[in-house]
Amino acid sequence: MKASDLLASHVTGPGGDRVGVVIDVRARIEDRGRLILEGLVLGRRPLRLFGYERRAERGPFLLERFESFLHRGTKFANMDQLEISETGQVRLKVGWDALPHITEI
Amino acid sequence: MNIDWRGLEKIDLGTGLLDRQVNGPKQHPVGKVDDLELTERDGRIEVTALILGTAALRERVPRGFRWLLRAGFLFGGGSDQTRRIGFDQIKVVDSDVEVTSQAAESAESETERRLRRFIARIPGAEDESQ
Repeated sequence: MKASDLLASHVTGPGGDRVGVVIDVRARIEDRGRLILEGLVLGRRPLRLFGYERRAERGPFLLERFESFLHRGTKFANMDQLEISETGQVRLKVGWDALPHITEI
Repeated sequence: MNIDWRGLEKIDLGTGLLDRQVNGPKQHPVGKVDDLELTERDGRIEVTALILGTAALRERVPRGFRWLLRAGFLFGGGSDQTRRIGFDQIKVVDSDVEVTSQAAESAESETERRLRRFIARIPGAEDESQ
């Protein structure tokens, strides 16, 4: 599987209905530099991240507000909440509303 | 594998790794990160390699814009073959990705080599670093 198989792919809910798209793939850096997938950033629409949701320092006020407006519905699903097939098809094991907002994790 | 991530603990692959410049030692350009290889190991999915080359990039470009890449292939003498750099060949990930000299040599772009040979024939095009 490749990252491009996941990015922008459609996400289905537990009932098989289409609920969103994969905006980004979050990975955790482990000892000695290994990179392990931690979860997916999901949105209703295919908007890209700008990086402000992770940085300790904040960007220009207007840009930050614009970004938070765009990503007001963006969620994070960890790997336990997902089923990912070998071809990159993504299915949620939990409902969309049960997922935390991207800034809550 | 002992990669220097410059203190990072987490990274968003689309925002923080894809499209980054890949350099060998002494900032020698190798290409861009066009895709990433993901491998399932012990029930976890791990990023195991960088994938370089316009053939890989084409997969990520919206269909309506792929003609632009095809036009680039015509100018450059054909599309780049997909090249793979294993994660054990990465030294530092910062604003660019530094790989070992061995990886840089094996993953160098054939299109870039062709263009360098072409440009080298232009009078006055000698490399000042040599």
